[in-house]
Amino acid sequence: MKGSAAEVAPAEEPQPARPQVVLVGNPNAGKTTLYNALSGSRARVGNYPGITVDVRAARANFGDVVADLLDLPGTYSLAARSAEEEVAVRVTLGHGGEAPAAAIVVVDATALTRSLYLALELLETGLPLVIALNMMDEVEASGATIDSAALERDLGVPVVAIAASKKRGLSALREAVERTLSEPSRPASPELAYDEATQGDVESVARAVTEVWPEEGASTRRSQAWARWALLSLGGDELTDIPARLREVTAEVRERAEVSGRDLEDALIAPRYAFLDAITERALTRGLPRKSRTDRLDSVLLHPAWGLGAFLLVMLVVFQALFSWASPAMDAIGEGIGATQSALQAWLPPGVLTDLLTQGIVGGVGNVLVFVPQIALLFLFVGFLEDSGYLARVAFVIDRLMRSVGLHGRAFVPLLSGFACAVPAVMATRTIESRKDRLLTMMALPLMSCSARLPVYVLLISTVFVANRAVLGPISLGSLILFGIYGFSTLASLTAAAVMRRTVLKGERPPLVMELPPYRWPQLGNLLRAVGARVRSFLVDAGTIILAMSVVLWALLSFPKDHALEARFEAQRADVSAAQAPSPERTRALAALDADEAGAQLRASAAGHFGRLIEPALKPLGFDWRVGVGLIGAFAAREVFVSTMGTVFGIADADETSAPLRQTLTRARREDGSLLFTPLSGISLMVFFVFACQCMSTLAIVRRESGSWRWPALLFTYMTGLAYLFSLLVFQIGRALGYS
Amino acid sequence: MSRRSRPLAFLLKVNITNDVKSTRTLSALPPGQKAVVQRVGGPRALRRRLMEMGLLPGTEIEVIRAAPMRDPIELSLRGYRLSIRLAEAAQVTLAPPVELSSTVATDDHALEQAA
Ligand SMILES: Nc1nc2c(ncn2[C@@H]2O[C@H](COP(=O)(O)OP(=O)(O)OP(=O)(O)O)[C@@H](O)[C@H]2O)c(=O)[nH]1
Repeated sequence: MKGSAAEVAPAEEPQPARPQVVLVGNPNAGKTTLYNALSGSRARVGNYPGITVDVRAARANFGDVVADLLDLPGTYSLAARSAEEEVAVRVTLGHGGEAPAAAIVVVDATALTRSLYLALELLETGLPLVIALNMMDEVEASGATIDSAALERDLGVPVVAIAASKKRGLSALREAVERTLSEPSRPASPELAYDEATQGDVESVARAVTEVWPEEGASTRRSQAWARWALLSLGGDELTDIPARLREVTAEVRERAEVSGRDLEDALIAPRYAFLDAITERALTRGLPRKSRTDRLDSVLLHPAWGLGAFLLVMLVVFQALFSWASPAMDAIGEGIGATQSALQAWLPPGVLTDLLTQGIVGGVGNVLVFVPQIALLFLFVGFLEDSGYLARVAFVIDRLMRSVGLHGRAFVPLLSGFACAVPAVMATRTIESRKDRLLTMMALPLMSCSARLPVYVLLISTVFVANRAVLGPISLGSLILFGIYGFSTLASLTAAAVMRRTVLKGERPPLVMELPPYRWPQLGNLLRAVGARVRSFLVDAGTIILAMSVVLWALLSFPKDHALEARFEAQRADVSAAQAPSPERTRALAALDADEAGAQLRASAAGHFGRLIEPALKPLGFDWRVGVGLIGAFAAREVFVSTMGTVFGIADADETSAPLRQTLTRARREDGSLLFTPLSGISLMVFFVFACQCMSTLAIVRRESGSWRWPALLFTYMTGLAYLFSLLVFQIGRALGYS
Repeated sequence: MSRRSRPLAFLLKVNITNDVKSTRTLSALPPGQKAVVQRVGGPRALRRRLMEMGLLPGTEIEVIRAAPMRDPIELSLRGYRLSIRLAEAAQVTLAPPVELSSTVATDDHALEQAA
């Protein structure tokens, strides 16, 4: 089996194997809270190769027993349709690998019957269980009582009432787990009333299970549990590791049932709920019905009018935070990197190795680190929204709109974050359940105009237009154009999603069946841990790719060095220094020489040659090779386009507001003597930036989140293709209409 | 609650309350009203998902509200809140209200009585 549980929790030092305890439960049942409370220590995040299923593992003490505690993504049932769900089931049941010694099922006691469904499914497999009845504080506050002894009798496994966030009941839970671990015995099988015909179906499939997975046939109970799993899961699924024989038998049996007019879903699920209804009936005493805090909040937050207002307000805060609250930290990181570079340069002897270290490596580290503030902030917000229960409401409120372009309601926060930066936004797609929805969102959101494109737009608008000319009252031409670009990019992104939903990511749209959990106060500790885990996983998985690409890009832009050129500029510098006494003027002259040299070297570099090579392809868009070099440089990050243009045109320390760069660009001419930057070629270039995937970090993070290079390759191809096509159209139609 | 639905049914010229055979779906149930599920239809994945989350024949559900853009809707069943789209709610057939009145309207009794 691929990715057994043992791979998830590699032993740090050789020692007798620790028993494994898996934590399972519905989403929002409080698994993470319990996991943190039980392990207390730093958790490691494991990841299955190829699929983004986070399986966290940590050591935890249960009395005298030290065990590996595994935390799996939340789920409502064991039945699986996607590869991710399959992995979770396999780890839980220890299929093909070592079976866990026990499972702790975290049950949301405020939704008792529904939460016990998963526990019952597990019980049917014979896995030793301990049921943790969580959220008991809320149950008590509502005036209800749950008789856990009655549940324990009916289910035949330990049932412990806890409140994970209040750390209540944990020692009783630890004891129960310790007892289960030290006297391993299969819990008694619950008495479920499957009808005879269905039982026959299950037995037929169970024989096939034993055939293809001998270890699952060890007990009738286990093979039958897998048979029920197969009957519910197989057919029209995306599971990858199912033997053909099992598929065949399952399909046959299903067909037979269908022909005789029996409904297998109903026949397998209804007896479970009948059993659960009966036992909760005995154990649960309801309180007096009264309006809960959640009802009161929702009557405002989901109100037809106030609800939309609240939604916009929350989104505005998230957006503002990403857009501006992160920038002080990002600036500080930029300055720190700059300071490190100059310190190293002053300290080390000049040479290629020093350049590699300062420009290539330290610069590359900077390229990675700048993302951290936005990632941390976004996940702090997303974590808060998710744990508080509002994220599900976001999807509820906006689903209608998102669905019209084929996106899930949960895609809204990632899309919005795309305006700030695609990297954290792509990471935020994890809150979307289905892989197809997640991929679709990932592929569409890089078209949202991110904040790195803004400097490029600003430079180009101020170069080719009179940006502050008032056009509509107080609204200037520049801001009008900028507004147009943002609108255009949003439209492009949504259209791309709609098109991909009908083509590459075609398929039955997953239904929206989403719990709206009660509002709860998130735990700060949980949030910070989640942020830490995300940042770490970004640094390790995407950061290394970004760093490597940065170094390659730096090399392309710096090599080969033209030594004759270097010697010539050295001589000119010597002349200037000799001819003039030290003065501000001389410093300026020297700086101008440095800038000229940098420009000349860039032209001689591999990127310079490449720019010339692709010039014939760029000409129909209105660009020349110098813009081509800028585009190559912009691959590191789009805003680098501005400084690369500065270098190409021999302007030192250029940014998007620098007047010398703007003036130089305004005067720049093509080889045939025509102006390079006209309103038409400026618009063409901005359109190119709207579409083009000029960002290696986006590609790196899509690689990380999708688990293969296929998706980033598709992303790059389609975005660059669109960029080329639209720039071509803009420039050629403009020309045909008589603009230049 | 069945009294409240009568004038509406009259206006729409659809006789909901008296004709046992007429099919009511969950998508047509107005907010604030309760009903008992009779059948869960639609694609297999949807049916399985709904049933595993406890929405199956015999379950009593109440529509709490519609989203600000009218779709999806919020339901209350088995003591928790679930949202589904109208298109999916249209796949859920409801038992005629007559039956409901004979049912003790608590979550736990509903299943046993209908079964
Ligand atoms: N009142 C109360 N709240 C709790 C309790 N346990 C957890 N919570 C809160 O419930 C929310 C969800 O808890 P999590 O631990 O994130 O739930 P989870 O099961 O890990 O959720 P997923 O990560 O979506 O699977 C958080 O806001 C917690 O603070 C509890 O015993 N009582």
